[in-house]
Amino acid sequence: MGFCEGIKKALKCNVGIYDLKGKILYGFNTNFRYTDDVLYSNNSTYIRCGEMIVSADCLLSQDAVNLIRMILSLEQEKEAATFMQPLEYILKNDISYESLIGRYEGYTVLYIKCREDVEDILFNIYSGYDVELVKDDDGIYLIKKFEDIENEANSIINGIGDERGINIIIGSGRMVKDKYTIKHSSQDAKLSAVFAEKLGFKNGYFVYDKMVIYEVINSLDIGELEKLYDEIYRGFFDVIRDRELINTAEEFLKRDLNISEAARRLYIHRNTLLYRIEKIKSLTGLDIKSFEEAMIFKFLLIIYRLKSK
Amino acid sequence: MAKVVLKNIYKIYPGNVVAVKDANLDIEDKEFVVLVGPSGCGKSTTLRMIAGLEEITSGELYIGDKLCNDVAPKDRDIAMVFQNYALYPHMTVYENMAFGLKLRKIPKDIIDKKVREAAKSLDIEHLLDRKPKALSGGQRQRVALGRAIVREPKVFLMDEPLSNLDAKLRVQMRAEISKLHKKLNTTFIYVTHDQTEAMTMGTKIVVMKDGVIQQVDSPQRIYEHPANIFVAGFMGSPQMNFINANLTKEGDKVFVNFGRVKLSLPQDKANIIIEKGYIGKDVVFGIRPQHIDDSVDAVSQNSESVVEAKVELIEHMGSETYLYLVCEGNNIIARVAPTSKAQTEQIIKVAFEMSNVHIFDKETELSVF
Ligand SMILES: Nc1ncnc2c1ncn2[C@@H]1O[C@H](COP(=O)(O)OP(=O)(O)OP(=O)(O)O)[C@@H](O)[C@H]1O
Ligand SMILES: [Mg+2]
Repeated sequence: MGFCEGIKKALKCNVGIYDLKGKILYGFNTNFRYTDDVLYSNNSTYIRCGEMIVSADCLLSQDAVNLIRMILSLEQEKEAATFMQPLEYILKNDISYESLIGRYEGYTVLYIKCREDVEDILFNIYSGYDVELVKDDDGIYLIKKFEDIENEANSIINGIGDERGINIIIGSGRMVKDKYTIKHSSQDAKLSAVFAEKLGFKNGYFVYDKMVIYEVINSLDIGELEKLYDEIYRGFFDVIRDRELINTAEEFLKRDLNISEAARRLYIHRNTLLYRIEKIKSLTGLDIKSFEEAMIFKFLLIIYRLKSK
Repeated sequence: MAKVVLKNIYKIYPGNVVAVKDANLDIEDKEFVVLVGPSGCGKSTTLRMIAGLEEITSGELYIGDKLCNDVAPKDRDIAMVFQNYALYPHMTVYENMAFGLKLRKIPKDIIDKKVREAAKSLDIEHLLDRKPKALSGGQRQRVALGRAIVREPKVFLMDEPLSNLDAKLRVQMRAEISKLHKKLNTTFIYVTHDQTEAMTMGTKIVVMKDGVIQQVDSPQRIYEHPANIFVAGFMGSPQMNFINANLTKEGDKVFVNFGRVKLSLPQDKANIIIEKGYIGKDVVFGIRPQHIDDSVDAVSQNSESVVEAKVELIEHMGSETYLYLVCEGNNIIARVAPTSKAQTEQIIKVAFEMSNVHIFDKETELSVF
C-alpha cells in the first residue's frame, strides 16, 4: 500500500498496519500492541484507527497522529469509493486495472449502435432485471449475464428493427473473467460495433473475437499491401465488379467452401460453380477451393471493404 | 386497404452493387405473395426496402395508395417476422407478445384481450406463462408470429421464417402460416429460397434472379407457363429437362429434332412456332420429368413421341420412381410410377407427353410457349 511508503518518507519512520488481533495487513512489520486510542511504548507509537492499529517505530506528536488517522480514513474511503463506483463511471473514466479484477465476473458487455435513440426500448425490455444500460455518444452499453448471447443479441436487433424500423449493429465483448475485466469487455464490444460499421455493415451482431482479423488488417499499411498484391489486386477488382462472380465467391465462403451446398443455394449446377471458381482463379490467381487461398481472398475482400468506406 | 406497389425500384449499394434492378410489382390487398430465387438475388433487399430498413435508391413504393419512400418505418403499419425468432429470453410468452403494445402504451385490458386472441389463433394459449427456453422451435416461431399479429399490421413481411426449423416442422409450419393468412385476411409478403415453399404457400409468386424480377404469376401459371429457362428450371423438382434441339416443318407439321430423335408437336403448338418464325432455328426443348412415361399404355398410345433411352440409375421414392436416363447424349430424368419395370443399363422406350412440352429461344432464353 502506497500509504505506508508515504508516511515513512514524511515522518522518517517505519509504519505498519495491523488488524485488532495483531495480524499485519500492510507496510512494515514494526511491533504490535493493542490500544483503544493511542499508546506510546518503547519508542513506538500505536494508533487505533477504526478496526485497525497503526504502529510506527518512533514517537509521534498528536498532530502527526491526527494526520495519520485522517489520511488513513481518506484512503479507506477512496477504496470504498472504487467499489461503489457506478458502472457508468467505470466505463467512462480511467480506473486502475487492479481495482476491477474480480468484479462483474460472468457478465458480458454488448454495445448497441444505431442512428436513433433506443434507450427507452431497451429500458422497457430489461426493466426489473439484472441488466445495466450505460449510454455514451455513439450508443449504449448493455451489461448482463447472458445465457445465449447470440440469440439475445439477434432478438434485440430484430425486435427493435421491427418496432422502430431501424437498423442496429451490436458488438460484443467477451465474458468478464479473471484478468479480463468489465472495462475490457466494454472496450471490445464497442470496437466490434464501430468496426462492423466501418466495414459497411448496417445491421447485425459482431463478436470481438471474430473481429480481430479486421483489426489486424486495419492496422496495416494498405498502400504497401496494395503494391505487394498488385497483380492479384487488379484481377480482384474484376471479380468485385462482376456481380455473379462476387456473389458466388461470397456464398461459397459463407457455406464453408462446401461446393454442393453453395451450388444448391445459388441454384447453379456444381459444374457451373466450379467453372466460376476457375474464372476467379484465372483473374486473381487464387483458388478459393483451398482453405488457404480462400483466406487470402477473404482478406482482400476485407481490405477492399475497409478501403472503399 | 393494404395494396403494396413497387414502381421502377432500384437498390444500388455502395461500390455500385445493383442488388435490385427496376422492380415493378403490384401486390393486391390480402394477397399472399412469395418472393423466391437463389441466394443473393435480392429477395431480402426487396423486403427490407418495403419495411423501410433499407433506403430505396430510386423508384416509388406505395403502401395502401400512399407513397412511402420517405415514411418512417414505424409509421408504415407493417410487421416483420424474421428467421431467428427474436424473442426476449427473460420474458414469458405472454410478455413477449404483449411487449410491442406495452411500448405503445395501449391499456392493459386491451393488450390482454389481443394477446389471448392471438394465442388462441396460434394454439399456444397453454404456453403463455412459459419462457422461450422451454419451447420447441416450432412453438417459438409461433410466438414470434403472435408478436406480429397482436399489432394488427396492414402488411406482414416474413424473411425465411422457417429456415431454422427441421424439414418435418417446416412442412407443418407452412400449413400453419397459410391458415393464419386466411384467418387474418391481410397482405403477406414472404421470402424464401425454397421453391416448394413458394409453390405451396403463395397465391402469387415472384421469381427473382440477379436482382431482376423474372416472372410474377400464380403458382400454377409459373409452373405451367414459365417465362424463361431460368424460371422453368428453378420451379419444380426434380427440375425440368432441357435439350438443345432444332425445329423443322413438313407440311403443316412441326418437329423437334435432336440426335436421331424426331418428335411431332401438337398442332396448336406447331402453329405458334410457325407464326413466330422459329422454323429451322436452334431452340431449347423442355419437358418436366412427370411428362415422360415408360408405362406400356403411354408408349403404345403416343407412338409419334416415343424415344429410346438408356437407364443409368433408378431412385425409388416410395410413391414414385425417378429414372435417370441418357437419350442421344442428353441426361434426362423421368418421374414414373413405382410399378415401372425399368432396370439399370437397360435400353427402354419412353413416351414424351407432347402437349406439355416447352420451347425456349436459345439466344434470349425466353419461352416461346
Ligand atoms: N449492405 C450491403 N452492401 C453491399 N452489397 C450488399 C449489401 N447487402 C446485400 N448486398 C448484395 O446485394 C445482393 C442481394 O442480397 P440479398 O440479401 O437481398 O439477397 P437474398 O436474395 O436475400 O439472398 P439469400 O437467399 O442469401 O438471403 C447480393 O449480391 C448481396 O451481396
Ligand atoms: Mg435473404
